[in-house]
Amino acid sequence: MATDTTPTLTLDDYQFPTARLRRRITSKDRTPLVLIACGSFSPITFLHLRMFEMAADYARFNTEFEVVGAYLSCVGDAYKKTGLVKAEHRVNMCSLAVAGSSWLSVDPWEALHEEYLETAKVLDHFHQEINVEGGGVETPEGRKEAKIALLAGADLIQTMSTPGVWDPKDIDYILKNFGAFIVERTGTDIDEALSTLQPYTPNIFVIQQLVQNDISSTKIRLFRRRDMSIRYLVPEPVVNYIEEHNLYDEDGAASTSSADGKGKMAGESKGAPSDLKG
Amino acid sequence: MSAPVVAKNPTTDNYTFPVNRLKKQMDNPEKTPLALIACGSFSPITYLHLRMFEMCADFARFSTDFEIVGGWISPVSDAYKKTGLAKAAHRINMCQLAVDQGSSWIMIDTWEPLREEYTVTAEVLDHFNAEINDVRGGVETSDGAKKKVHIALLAGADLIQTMSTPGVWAPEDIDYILRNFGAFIVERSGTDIDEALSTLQQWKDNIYVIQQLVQNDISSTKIRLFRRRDMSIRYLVPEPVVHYIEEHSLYGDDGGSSTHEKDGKKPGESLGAPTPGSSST
Repeated sequence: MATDTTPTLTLDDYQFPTARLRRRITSKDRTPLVLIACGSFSPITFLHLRMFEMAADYARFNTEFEVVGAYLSCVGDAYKKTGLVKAEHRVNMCSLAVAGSSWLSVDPWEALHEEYLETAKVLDHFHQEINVEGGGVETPEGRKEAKIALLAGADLIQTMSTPGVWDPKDIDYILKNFGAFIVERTGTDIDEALSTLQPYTPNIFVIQQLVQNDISSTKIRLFRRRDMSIRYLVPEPVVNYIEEHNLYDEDGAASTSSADGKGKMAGESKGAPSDLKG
Repeated sequence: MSAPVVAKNPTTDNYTFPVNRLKKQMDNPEKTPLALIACGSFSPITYLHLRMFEMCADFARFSTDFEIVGGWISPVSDAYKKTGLAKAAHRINMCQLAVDQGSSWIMIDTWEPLREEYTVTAEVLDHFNAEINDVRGGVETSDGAKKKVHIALLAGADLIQTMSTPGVWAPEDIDYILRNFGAFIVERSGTDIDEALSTLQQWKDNIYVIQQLVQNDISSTKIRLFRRRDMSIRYLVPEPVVHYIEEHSLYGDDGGSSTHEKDGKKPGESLGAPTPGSSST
C-alpha cells in the first residue's frame, strides 16, 4: 500500500494496483463495473470519497452493475491548473485518504506522465490493464469485460457541454465506449449540463446527492490561505500532510504545524483553545 | 483508541464536570473568555456537528473580541423522547469517540443526558455557568486575575428557528437564554436565517450568525435514513462512530444486517462496494 513515504515512483517501476480489485463476482446477471475518478484532487476531500460510496449504493440499487473496483487518477502536473500542487503530493494525499477504505485505490499512472493525458487515454489505460491484460472478471455467465466508467461531479459533465472545453471526439469516445456516473452538485444544473449529451444518456447515470455537500478543493485552498480550519472537510491524515508540507499556504506563510507545542491538532481553527501547560 | 468513558450504570453521583481540555490561562487578557455549549440530540454525532465548533472558533477569532477557552457537547437526555433517539449511553459514547482523537478541544458533558428527567436548555446553560464561573471562578488571565467566562449556546439555524416558532419554547426560557447567555448560530441550507431571527430582534446583540462557506447538509436524520435503507454513511460521520453504529446495530431497520468487518468491508461502507476476498489477484 502506498504511503506518503513512498520514494519517487517512475513509469519504469510502475505497476497497476490490483490489491483491491475483484476478479470474480458471484451474482447472476450482473455486469462488473470499475469506477474511475479523474481530477486534480488538490486536495482530495470527503466529498470525493463520498462520491464513490454514493455511486456504489446507486449501482447496487438502481442498475445491473456490480462494482469490482474503484480508482482515483490524479491529473499530471502538465495540466497547469490553478491551485495544483505537485502530483507527488496529490497522489500521496489520495493514498492517505483511501488507506482506511477496503475498496478504493489510487492509480498513479496518469500523474507519472510528464505530458498531459486526455481522459480518453486514461480510461483506455484502465481498460487495457483490467480487461485486455488482466482478462476481465469471472462471472457465473463466464468471463466478462469489466465496464470502465468515469465517476465525476456534475461540474465536470458541465464542462463537457461547454463549447470549446473538450474535443467533441473525446466526449464521443468516452461516453460511447465507457460511460459516466455523475453525482449532482449544488450550483450545477444537471439537466443543462446533460442537454448537449442526449445521444449518450443511456450510458450516463445521474446520482442524486441526498445530503447537500459542497466541499470543494477550491474552498479548502481558500480556507488555508485565510488561516481557517479545514478539519472535518478532508480526512485527518490529509490535514496532517497539508500542514507538514505547508501546502496551499499563502506564499509559504507560517504553518499551524501540530509541532507548535500548543496541543492543537493539525488544521484545527486557530481560534480554538490550545494550552501550553496541557 | 480509548474506550468510551461512560460507566456501566452512570448516575449523577459519579459525575464530574469535564475540564481536561478547558484552557487554563487566556492568551490575551483584553479579550472576553468564551465557552461554547452545543445542545442537541446527537443521534448520531456527525462531521457537521464537529465543523460547527471549528467554524465558530474561526468566527470568534476573526470577527469578535472573544477568546474561546472551552467547547462542550451536551447531549439531550432520553426523557426528551424524540424520534430516532438512541439511548443516552450510546449517544454519549459516540460523541466521545468522535472527539477523543478527532479533536483537541471539544469535550462531552454527561450531566444533562444522565438525568432521568428532561432538562430545559436554560438550566443546562446555568449548569455550565455554575461549574465554570461559580465553582472555578472563571478563567485565569496572564496577569493572575480571574475573569468570568461568557457562556453561549452553539447551534444550527434550525434550532434558532424553533425559538421563533410559536409554542415550541417557553418565552421566558428564550428571554433567559438570549439575555443572560447568547448564541452563536451556524447557518444551514433550508433555514431562512432572517426569518428565524425575526422575532428575536430584541436580543440580536447577543446573537452571532456564522455563515457556512461550505454548504454542508449532513443531518443526523439523514444518517438514520441511510442506515434504514442500508446505504453508506461513511465520510459523513467519523470512522469510530461508523464502527460503533455497526457494532451495536444502531438505526438499522429492526436489527437489519450489519456489514460486519468479517466480509472484509469496513463498517458503514456501501454494500454496493466490492467485498475483498480471495478473488483478488
